[in-house]
Amino acid sequence: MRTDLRRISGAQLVTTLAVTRVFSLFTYVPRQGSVSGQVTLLSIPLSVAVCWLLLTPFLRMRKTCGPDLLVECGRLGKPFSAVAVLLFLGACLLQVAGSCSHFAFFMTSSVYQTASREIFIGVLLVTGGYAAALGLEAFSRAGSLLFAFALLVMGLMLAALLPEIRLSQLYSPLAEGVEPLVRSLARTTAQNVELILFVLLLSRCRPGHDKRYLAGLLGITALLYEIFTFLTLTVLGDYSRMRLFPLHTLATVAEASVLGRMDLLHILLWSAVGFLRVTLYLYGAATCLHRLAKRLSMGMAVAICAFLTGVMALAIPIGVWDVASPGTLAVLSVLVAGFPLAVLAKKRFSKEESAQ
Amino acid sequence: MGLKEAFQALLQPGPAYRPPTQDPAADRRLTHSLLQNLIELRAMFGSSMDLVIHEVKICGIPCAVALCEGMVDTNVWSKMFAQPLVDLKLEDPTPQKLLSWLRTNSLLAPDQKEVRTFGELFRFMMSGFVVLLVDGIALAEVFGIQGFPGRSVDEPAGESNVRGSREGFVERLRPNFSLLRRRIKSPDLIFEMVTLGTKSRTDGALVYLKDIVSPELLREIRQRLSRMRIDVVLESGYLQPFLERKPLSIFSGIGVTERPDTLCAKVAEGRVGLLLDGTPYALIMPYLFSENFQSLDDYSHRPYFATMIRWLKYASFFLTILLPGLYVAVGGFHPELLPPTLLMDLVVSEETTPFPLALEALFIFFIYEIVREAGLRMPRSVGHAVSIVGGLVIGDAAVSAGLIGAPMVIVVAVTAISAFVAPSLYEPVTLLRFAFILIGGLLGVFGVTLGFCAVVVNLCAVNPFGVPAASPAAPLSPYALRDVFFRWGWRVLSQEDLRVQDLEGSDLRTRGGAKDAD
Repeated sequence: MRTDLRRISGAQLVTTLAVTRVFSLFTYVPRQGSVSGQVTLLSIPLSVAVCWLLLTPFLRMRKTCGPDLLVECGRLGKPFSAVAVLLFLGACLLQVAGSCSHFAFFMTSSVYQTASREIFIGVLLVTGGYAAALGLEAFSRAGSLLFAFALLVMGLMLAALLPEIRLSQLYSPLAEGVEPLVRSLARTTAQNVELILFVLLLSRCRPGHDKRYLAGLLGITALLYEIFTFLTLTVLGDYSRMRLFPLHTLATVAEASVLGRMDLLHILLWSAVGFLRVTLYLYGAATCLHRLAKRLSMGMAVAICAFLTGVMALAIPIGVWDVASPGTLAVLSVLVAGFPLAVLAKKRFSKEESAQ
Repeated sequence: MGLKEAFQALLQPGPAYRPPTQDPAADRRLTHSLLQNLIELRAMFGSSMDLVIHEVKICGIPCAVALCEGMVDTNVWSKMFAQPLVDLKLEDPTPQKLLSWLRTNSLLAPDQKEVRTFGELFRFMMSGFVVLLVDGIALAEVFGIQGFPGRSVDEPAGESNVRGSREGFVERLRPNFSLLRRRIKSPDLIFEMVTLGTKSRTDGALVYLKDIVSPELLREIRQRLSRMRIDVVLESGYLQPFLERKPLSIFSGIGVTERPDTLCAKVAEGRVGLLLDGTPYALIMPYLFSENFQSLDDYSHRPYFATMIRWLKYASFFLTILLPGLYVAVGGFHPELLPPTLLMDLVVSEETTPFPLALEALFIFFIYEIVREAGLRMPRSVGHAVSIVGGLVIGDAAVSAGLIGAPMVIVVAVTAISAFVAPSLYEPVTLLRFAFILIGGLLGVFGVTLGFCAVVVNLCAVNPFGVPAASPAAPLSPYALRDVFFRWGWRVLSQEDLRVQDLEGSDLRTRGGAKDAD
């Protein structure tokens, strides 16, 4: 009986990452100068194209060089490999810390006003760390179940909100010019930070269907974003810009005749999605740490990462973390496009050298 | 003693502990001398009173018949075994001729074997065999004429159903074989004997269909059983921890049944059963989580009704583990989420009670578990009285005294009844219920959700024999789902045999395992 690291199916990876991605949708906080929903509606499909472009070198690298990006980076020399692993580790740790901090912000501002955020950060990290220590196979299976639950809850919300839709709230996305569209495109692309995990974990799936998996991930998340942006826009209108968490407000508005208010389901789903996100990024960080210190067991690596992210999350001031900042876009580009490009360039260079 | 020494002493095994070892006499071979064999046999039994030895001469050859008192059917023994031997006439009798007659011309018992060591001889005697030792022959003939008292085949107490067989396993091993053999009349049905426990030497049997079972699964089970180090095995539950693997989980990847028809159905799907002498409970390996919600009746009912019952069971499972925790969490932290009328009722009933909701729930479930356990262990006549007293205490007196609110009684009643819909999950359900009440009382809905997620991941990590326990839902095996969320009709179910090694995510690659291959 096999005892080595088990592979997961592509569908499991895609559904798990799609659920994790939903977290950014739930935690969306309108900021000063945020673009209008109409512009976001248009920028979502455009961001899919940008993401596809960003991942083209990675897909090419998988085809021509090898399946694992970090292994390929290792062929470029130890310092380069160490930098790559450290950057991936840092990105994953930052995402865990940011997610914990933002989740605690939501909980203390919208659900438990009197509670302290340390409790939420601590509990989220302990449960997420436990799940991450059980391995990718275990939590990706759970992720696919959670995906089904998320679809069910979102379907219910959609059905409950259908009577509230006011199409009169819609107008042309280009009414304010092209500049808001470019800004929105940058933000929407930066929200696809799960692509870092996609790049890290795709080597654990069956090879040969990379494009299908990527299309699935980008397609599902874009569809969910389109639907909920459309609902927020047509149900809440400009009121959504005044709310701290527009989607939570939407869940409060949604009222199915038999089931009553939907915000309980929304809190349940949000907590579960937050848990899965923290688990996935902790696992990603732990695998990077394990590469740097091979003697460290995965359980210990997860514990160290959880401790570090706990400290980082507490250091992030309340309400400051922004999942779609320009910095995130830069890091995302370097990690998912920069390193594969470097691997491809090195390969081409050595080919030319050997030809001469 | 310093702190370090004290800590080290704690980690050391206790002085009384000795690792289990086998009796050194077990491997000793029988000799040609009848006298020496009898001396050795008496020495092995020591002062035990149940050893019966008759020294007789058969055709003038010194022989001895040995048996364990109370283990042999004396009626059959005297008529079918003793009488033919006493009446035996051989020309020029020699020990070899007598042995040859026993081997080729006699029909003294349906089960006849030859043993060469004292260990084997001892084990057969303990299993109710009669031993015939012949002077000058370094082996013993053993005859299966068992006649020890035992329960007759009866309806299984823990797995009753509406339609289908009323037969359940019994404590004796061999009648259980016949119960299975009658249902699967195939030469591929194999009963592989195993001996378990270094002291108890308990007989067990692995049951499988050799044309269906994964050889890898079989090898793994044999290996785990052979590595097992335990003195006494009295029940199949003793074996489970040795057969399971990490991670530590409240869910088991090994199933238990006392129904021969259930075991046959599982064996036909490529699983391995383990029957053990002395217990009517058979183990099923591997066992999927979704099978806890299946019963034989599901396959006798019409598909639409079976599907409805299946959903009812799933709902009951979630109700029984989550309802008290969620009630405590919502009532304590998010009362605004309750419908206004329910909230008013809750406020009115809770105003008169002195404890918070979580404490009320813990208290009442604690009382309920005490009453249940007492009802289970006490004589049946007294057990009913305990149930009535418990019902009165929980249902009426506690509410009248103002200790708990009436809505909590309803929550407890619904939860307690729901737990019995999937009886095989009672242990994890009880533990989870208490855990979720605590978490719900401390952290609200957020805590319950996170706790539930951790439980789901833990369940998904259970993989005892290379087959994920959460399968076929996660990882998804679409064809296998025909019998999980919906129970399709037999026309669909019979189109392709489902084998446990074919499930997605399975490591048992004999047929269909290539699905996962690179």
